[in-house]
Amino acid sequence: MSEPIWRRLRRLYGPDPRADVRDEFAFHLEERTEALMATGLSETEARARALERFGNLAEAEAACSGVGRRRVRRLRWGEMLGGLVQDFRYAAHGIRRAPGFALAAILTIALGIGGNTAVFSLLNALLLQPLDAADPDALVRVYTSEGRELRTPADRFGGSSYADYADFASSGLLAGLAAQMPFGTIVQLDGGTARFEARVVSENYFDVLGRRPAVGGWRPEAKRGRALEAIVSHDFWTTRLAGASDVLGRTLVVNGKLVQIAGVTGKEFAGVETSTVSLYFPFTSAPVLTGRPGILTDRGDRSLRLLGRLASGATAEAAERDLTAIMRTIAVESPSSNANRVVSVRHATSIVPLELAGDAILPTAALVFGATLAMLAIAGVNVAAVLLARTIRRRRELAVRLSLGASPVRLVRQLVSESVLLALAASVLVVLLLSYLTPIAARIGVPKSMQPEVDLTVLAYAIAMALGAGLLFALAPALITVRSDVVAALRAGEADSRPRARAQRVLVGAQLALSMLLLIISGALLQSLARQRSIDPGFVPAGLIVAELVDPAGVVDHARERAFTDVAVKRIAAIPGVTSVTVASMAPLTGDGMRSSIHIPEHAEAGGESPEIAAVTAAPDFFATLRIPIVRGRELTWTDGDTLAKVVVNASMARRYWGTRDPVGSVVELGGRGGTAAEVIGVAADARFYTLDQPPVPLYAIQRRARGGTTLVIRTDANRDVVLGMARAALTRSDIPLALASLRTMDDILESSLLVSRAITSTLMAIGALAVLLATIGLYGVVSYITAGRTKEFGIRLALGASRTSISRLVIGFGLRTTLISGVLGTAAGLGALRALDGMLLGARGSLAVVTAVWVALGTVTLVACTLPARRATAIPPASALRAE
Amino acid sequence: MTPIPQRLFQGTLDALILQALRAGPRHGYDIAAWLEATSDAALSIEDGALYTALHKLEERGWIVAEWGISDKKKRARFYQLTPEGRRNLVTRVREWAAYVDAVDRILRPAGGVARPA
Repeated sequence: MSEPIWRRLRRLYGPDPRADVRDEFAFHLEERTEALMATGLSETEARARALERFGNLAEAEAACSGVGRRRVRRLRWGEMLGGLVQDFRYAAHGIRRAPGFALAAILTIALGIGGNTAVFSLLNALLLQPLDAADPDALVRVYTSEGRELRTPADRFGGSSYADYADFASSGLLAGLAAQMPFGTIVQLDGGTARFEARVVSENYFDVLGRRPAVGGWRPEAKRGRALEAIVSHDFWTTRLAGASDVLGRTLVVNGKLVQIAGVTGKEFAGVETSTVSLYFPFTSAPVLTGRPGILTDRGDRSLRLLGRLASGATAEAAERDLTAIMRTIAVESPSSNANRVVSVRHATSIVPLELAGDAILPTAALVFGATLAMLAIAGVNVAAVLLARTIRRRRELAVRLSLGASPVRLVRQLVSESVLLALAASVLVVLLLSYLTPIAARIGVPKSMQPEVDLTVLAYAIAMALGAGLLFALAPALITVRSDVVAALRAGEADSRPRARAQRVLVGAQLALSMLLLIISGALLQSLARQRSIDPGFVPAGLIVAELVDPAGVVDHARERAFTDVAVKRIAAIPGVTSVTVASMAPLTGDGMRSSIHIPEHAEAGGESPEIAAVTAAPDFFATLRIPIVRGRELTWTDGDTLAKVVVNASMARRYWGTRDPVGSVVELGGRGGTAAEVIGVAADARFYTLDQPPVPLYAIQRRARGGTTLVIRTDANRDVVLGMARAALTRSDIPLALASLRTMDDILESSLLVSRAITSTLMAIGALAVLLATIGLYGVVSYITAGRTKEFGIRLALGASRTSISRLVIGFGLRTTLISGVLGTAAGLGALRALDGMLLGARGSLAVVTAVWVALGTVTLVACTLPARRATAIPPASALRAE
Repeated sequence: MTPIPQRLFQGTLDALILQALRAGPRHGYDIAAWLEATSDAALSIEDGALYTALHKLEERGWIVAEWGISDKKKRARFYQLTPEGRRNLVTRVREWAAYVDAVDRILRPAGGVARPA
């Protein structure tokens, strides 16, 4: 009984509560007056008495209309909330009716949103989160370089020398300028040695960051005496020193030197470097610890990275001008090293400097990001298609409801809530999955400073993606609902199939185009991977074995290295099947190596500066062992006497710095002008020494008979496993002064150098394959639907003598046309994306082969998707087809 | 026995209004007139207070209001009990009886005066 009253009330209730209250009171006073007049009072008297009995009219009016206003507001909210609840209940019902579809939709959407959010959270950690420092907005990075127009960011934003740093620190626009230099350490701990990432830092490093050590700190230099000192990270303290409370003053053996612990960093301090730093040393100890005596004075040694704090009111631009002025004064004093040096100051907004990210991180991230977005879109299209089908089926009902005054907004909301519900369910799954992200990142060794965290930004992003996706997927069905032609829908004997067919075809077309885009890009990646595998690295990898050794007590101990070289080379050379062996600072493709200044007189005569060039140190037979041909001169052999350093340059270096002249016989100075003199004795052919996908860079090898480094390079023509075993036995004997760190074949090294490329390629291939599968299902759906709608027409055609082949050609033609249009769009987009990436991503470029392969694949898939509907269309006997509605 | 809540004292007017609507919908003046007549003019409630109470009951959802036409063919606002209001009325009456019973026992401890039914 109360229900109809509520409804009537809702309809009749006026929007102006105050007017209603006034009307009500007026009626009351009138009735009262009339009643009083009936007892014999005059009208005036009666009215006065009525008013008197009413009491405070204004007060009652205010109280009552206040109640009314509140109720109107609540009614509106109630109606909306009630509607929303109803919408979602309706949506949940829809989902329950088709649980398979819902599950598939939720999973694919979750995959899309999840992949996308994971990449986002990584970018968030690397590029969006401020540095772990006090007032991070005031932090700037200071770079020097040989010019602003250099091609790679690494060249444009280079390091600084300690001497330059000391001069920069006088700038009044910086409240503080800190410097750090990475170096590796071998630390002797209970029960063995281990490698740790370390930084030599300026003593104000922690002050500039505003993150003082939790315990201890640098002692004044006078009190330090001759002992070296270190501040250790909180993690190092807890995991390696068992969190000992008497940690201050304890000694460690680092690179063979005694070091006293002066402090421990704060527990929460994750560091501002892109690696997990365990030990910090003051610069005063750098010459001893790193074995580079000139590090504090040589302006050509630019291994320092500078991080400054702007003085209050100063801008990065002003600081750059000021430091540029300082650089000019330095250039006057030291023209040979600093004449062309320019200074750049950039805000230190994130752990990975934005100015350096363009190189590798951004293209890769953008691609995976884009691919996951595309997958989300493709998954969304399938969701949209089902919603659309449902909407069309209910089109008459919707039209009737619209004509009866139902608000189109409400109807659209119902549609939207179903797809939003699906997307939200997916986002719950995503959040669950993301909660494993940080532990996984920690397990695979992502430094604490760069670990992605599922913080509010990331959560907000995931939810926003879900909501956005949900709204987007409901867009097509919603548009059709709103545009519904009521009269036409009511008149039509059955739901008009044209809008659905058109909308579905557009959706499927978009799916196909996106799949095409993904396939083109992943195909290009695959091709580039294959290309990398077939690249001639310039040396012969087959039959090479690489043994890396570490000095347990110091990275540079020449006496020990000499002893090692003598013993190891003799012993390895004696292994049957070993044809050649050498020692070097590194083997090809095992790391970044070092760059070092070199003074080239012929280049200097032509007005050139001492360039910084990639260098390796190597014992004799280096090029012979790698089978890199010597094109001019010769390389050092074991029979040469142990004289001064000899240098072999590669062809790129010879071309660039000697031009047409013969470098052989030229005397260069290592480490820049005034450095150690060395004679160029040969020119070697170019080889890819650092990365497979980049062309060879200028490189020189410093060769000495008894000293090369701590990496053994062995060539064998025998069974590699046998040689590996014998080499291991030979290198772990006690008279070898170094510890064996790794023993691998070059083939393994080549495979692992492709690891990242392979991971990215296979991720994209998987996404692409899933996309094609989804698109095929979509295409099959739309072709079947349209074919079914034309059953009658086909029947007539067959009855009039059309051949079955012509009918199936019609059906397949429809599918192929859809694929053709999408294919053209997708191909254009794919090639455009590859061009925009400009080979930055693993050197992937568009090619005719990839485009052809993708077209063949999509064409096949189209035929498969259309064959079944075509066969069904032609199998119908004309008579029953004609009867079909 | 049923405890007597404090709100009884403030809520008496509410209870009276609910009782006035027990038989069916009435407009505001009708309620005022009915209360006067039924109590033999013993209760004189200020009309303003009556309306404030009516609107608050409506807000609470115990009664609903609707514009309608009075027997004198005028536009009037009619109030009607909701199921919830009806339930409350029953409670109120029970509470009131218990209250009267208790007060009655205290104020007339020894008398042979008949208790109100």
